[in-house]
Amino acid sequence: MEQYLEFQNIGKTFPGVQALKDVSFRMDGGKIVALMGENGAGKSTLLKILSGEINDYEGKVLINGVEHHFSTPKDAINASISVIYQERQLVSQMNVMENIFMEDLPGGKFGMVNMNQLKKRTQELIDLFGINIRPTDTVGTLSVAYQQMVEIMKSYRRDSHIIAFDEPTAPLTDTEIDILFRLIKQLRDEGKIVIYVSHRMNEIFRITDEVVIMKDGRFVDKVATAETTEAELIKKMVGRDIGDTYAGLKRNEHLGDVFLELKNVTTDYVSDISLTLRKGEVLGLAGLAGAGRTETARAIFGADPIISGKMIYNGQEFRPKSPKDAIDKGIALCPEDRKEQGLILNMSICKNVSAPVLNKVSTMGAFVSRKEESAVAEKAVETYAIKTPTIDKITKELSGGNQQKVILGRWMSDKVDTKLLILDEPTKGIDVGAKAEVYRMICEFARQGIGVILISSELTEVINLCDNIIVLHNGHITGELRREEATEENVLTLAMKD
Amino acid sequence: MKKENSILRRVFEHKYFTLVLVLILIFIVFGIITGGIMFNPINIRNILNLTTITAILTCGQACVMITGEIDLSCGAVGTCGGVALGWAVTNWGLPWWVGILFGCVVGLAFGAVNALLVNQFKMESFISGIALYSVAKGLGYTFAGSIGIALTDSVLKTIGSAKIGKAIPVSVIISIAIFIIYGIILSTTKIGRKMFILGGNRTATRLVGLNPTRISYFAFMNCGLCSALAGMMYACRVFNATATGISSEQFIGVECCMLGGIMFGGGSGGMVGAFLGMMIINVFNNGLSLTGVDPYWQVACSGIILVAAMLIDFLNKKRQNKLMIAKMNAER
Repeated sequence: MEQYLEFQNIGKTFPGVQALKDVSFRMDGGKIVALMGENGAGKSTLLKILSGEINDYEGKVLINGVEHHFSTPKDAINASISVIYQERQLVSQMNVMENIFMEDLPGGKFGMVNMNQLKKRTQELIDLFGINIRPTDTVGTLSVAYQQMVEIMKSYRRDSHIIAFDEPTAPLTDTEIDILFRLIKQLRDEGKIVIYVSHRMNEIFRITDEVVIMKDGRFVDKVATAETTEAELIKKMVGRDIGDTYAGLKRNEHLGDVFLELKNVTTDYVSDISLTLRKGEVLGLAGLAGAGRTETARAIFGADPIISGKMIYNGQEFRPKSPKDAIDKGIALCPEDRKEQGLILNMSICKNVSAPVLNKVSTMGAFVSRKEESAVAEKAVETYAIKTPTIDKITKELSGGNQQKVILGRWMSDKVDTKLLILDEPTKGIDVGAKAEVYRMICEFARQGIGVILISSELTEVINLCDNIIVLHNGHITGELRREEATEENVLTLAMKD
Repeated sequence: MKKENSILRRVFEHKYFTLVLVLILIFIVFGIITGGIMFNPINIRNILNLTTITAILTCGQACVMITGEIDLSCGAVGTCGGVALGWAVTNWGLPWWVGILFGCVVGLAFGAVNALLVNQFKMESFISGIALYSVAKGLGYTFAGSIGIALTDSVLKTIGSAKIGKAIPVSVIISIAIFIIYGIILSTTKIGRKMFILGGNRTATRLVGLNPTRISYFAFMNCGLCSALAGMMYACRVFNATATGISSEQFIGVECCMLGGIMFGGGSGGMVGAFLGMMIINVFNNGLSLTGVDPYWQVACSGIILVAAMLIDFLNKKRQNKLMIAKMNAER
């Protein structure tokens, strides 16, 4: 029987963001279908609808012509769907067979688990896939690749007809990828529907039969892999009109001297990073998630130790040992995750803004001066147009955009002499209006002569705000683009370069 | 009419409303049951008199809990502090103030070791506290022996039982003073603010340029010091540095803090709440004693009141959370 999966007019809105809009396409059994698109194109949202994690959406999901609506992940599993995520959903302290049969352990006498049966059935699976592990191996001791195999066997055991892989090769070595691909092809040859999400072009051409391209939550096209080229795919992923959010921006046209230079900087997470930053320059760090952008910023900020290489700051060699070292020299970081790393959510705006400058708003060396502290906070609220009735409002209660402005206010108050501002995903999850305000502020900082490092997954942001763009992949720099060379195609090509 | 409404509302929504209400209720209920003995000034003085040791332990524990950790070694460390005092003064013949300093050093040392285990060796403070509890308890037994070390120094004896103007015991003044001092530390000083920041978000603490380890050492060493002071206070009161000392008191500070809104996880609460929490426990225990409830039952009852108070607090928080969400939706 020929199997097929069909999405009809799928739509999904998150507060402030339309994640999916009118997505319709069909996937057939016996084919490996790639799902491609930039960060935020809607791929993961679609997978979450398929796996039952998101259950309120518009449109229909049809399997073999029958409509299915999954309220929970369990519903999806029962309808023989498996989604294999990057973060494996295994219990690492348990062994292979217990993981594979986790929710369906073969029963024996007195409610005990029938171990012989369990072992026998697991061994059959292992033989079928030809993998070199034992049913009794503890999952935590296996390599990442084998853990992934266990996950695949789990979905196979559930007799899943639809199996989706979300960037499965990211943590794997080349030989491990070969084994994985053999398994995926085996699944395809049995007539299953295989969905394959990946950013890696060479893999798409190596393994998939068809490619579905998405962008900004919409379906763009479905093409046969054999009949397309890399350039064509990238063009389809990018081709969007840039709104006029960037039109009225007054960018800084007068770059000053170089004041930050990295020479072959290596940390535990990135290697051989070299870059320069001028006063008043906005430098973009681009790349896919996990490429090493945040880690580069952390090295400059003293949050991850620099193992080798040189950092020259204001003409002197400087190797920050802690964020405090960096802050003392005028380096500031607005971290990627506002809520987890940036704000103290239970505290007021005032206390959040004054946190790095407690020493400067204190009296007699020990007491925090409420008056001075409030002055700094009031100024931040006013300068950055933070919408709040009072500076004593708890930051947890603010919208994402206002939270981001509190963090900007923290580093840009006149008590901190910030010379280098690192912004990590400053517009993530905030609405369009607030985004425009953040862009305006970035340009304003640059005109004041502050060097800005901007990390963003939104390519249009990097292209429209940065004077220079450094593209990273797997912890290495794969290229540098000047403002006039920066197009989404160029950035993406470098970001996917192996 | 409207204005009165809003004042009433502010009273109702105040974070200490439940605590004050519970305290007053317990006071009145026991007052009626005991036929007024509860309200007798001498009884009130007794309640306060009993609080000194609890107060000091609570203040130390409060700081640790605000940074998001817990110190379960405090009781035994306090005992050790008392034994150190006895050993120095009685066995070595040192002056009383040197003995007190020695006791303080012992407390600080235990606090430092605890902070070391938690910060450098990434141990759960729950575990390190239990381990240090055993160590300190063992040391207390070893050095105090079965009969303890008698304290004969007249100054030390006075510390335990002195009164001002025949009526107000010095220890009551110490209790109140220590709450005020720690209240000021937590609400107005830099280190107080830093402890709240650390408990609120450890990652952010480091990223705003503060040193989480240093703040944590301060909290733990401060708690060790407070424990030692409490233990010495107890030894002075009974004129003897015993091997058991205040070892059984390791949870009392935690109870008072939690009742008063200093939650596990850190970053919340304050000394006013901790004081109210302590008063609830003390008034309740005092009431039970006055009504002649079996002491063993009293222990069980104090557990029940903790659960009850936490339940009220949980319901209150849930309501406030709902209000907050409604408010945010309305703004949108």
